Amino acid sequence: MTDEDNSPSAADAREALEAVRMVRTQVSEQMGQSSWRYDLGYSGLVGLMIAGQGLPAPLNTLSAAGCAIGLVLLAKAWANKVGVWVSGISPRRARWVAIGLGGVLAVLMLGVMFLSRKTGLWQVPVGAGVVGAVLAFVASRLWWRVYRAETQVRR
Amino acid sequence: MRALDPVIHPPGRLRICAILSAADQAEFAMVRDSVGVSDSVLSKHVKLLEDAGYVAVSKAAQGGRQRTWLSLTAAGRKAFAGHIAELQRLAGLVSP
Repeated sequence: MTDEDNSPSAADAREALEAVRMVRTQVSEQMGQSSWRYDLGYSGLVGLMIAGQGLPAPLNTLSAAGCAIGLVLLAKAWANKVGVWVSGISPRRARWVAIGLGGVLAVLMLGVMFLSRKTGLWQVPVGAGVVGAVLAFVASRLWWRVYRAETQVRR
Repeated sequence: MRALDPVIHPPGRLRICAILSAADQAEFAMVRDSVGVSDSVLSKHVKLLEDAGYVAVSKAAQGGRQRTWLSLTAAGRKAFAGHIAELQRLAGLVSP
């Protein structure tokens, strides 16, 4: 008997791939059940973090730290709820959505810090916070789509 | 030529690796329910995967009780990716 004889048939291989696809779909559906609430909480905190940069020092730093702690707690609570922890920077293509969003949000935060001090207008941090929250929500939904597409297995 | 990984190949362990490969960490109870096995069966599978260096096990206290979290190691991710590639090759070879 050769090694080839011990190899699974094409049907066995397809069945195994289907089992992988099914269990991953099941898990991603379970994760998706509460993802809307997570996305809303996440985008709200991101909006507050950006808008907080319009506050005078050291309140802007404190608000950023508070929102960062809030984001960590939110992620931990969500992971404990669904039983899955996904850092956001894996898998590969979904990582670029997270990195891209991080870059845009950093620019918004720096822009708010600069423009708020220059103009003194309260509308600048509030407007940027709203824009940041909407962008974070859209990017978070996009991340989910990319994550789901990327974790599926070709049949 | 690549070969199927005998540690990953059994259906239960293949499903466990499929879940873990899509996440950074997954909780023991979630994996058990998704795979549809008992605690003891999952523990045996996890022990084999852990002994092969494919799975890492960590424990964290939450709400006054211990929760066990599982993750694929770098070697486990590589082995699982190779195993899937081989399955895809087999599926494609025999039935184009």
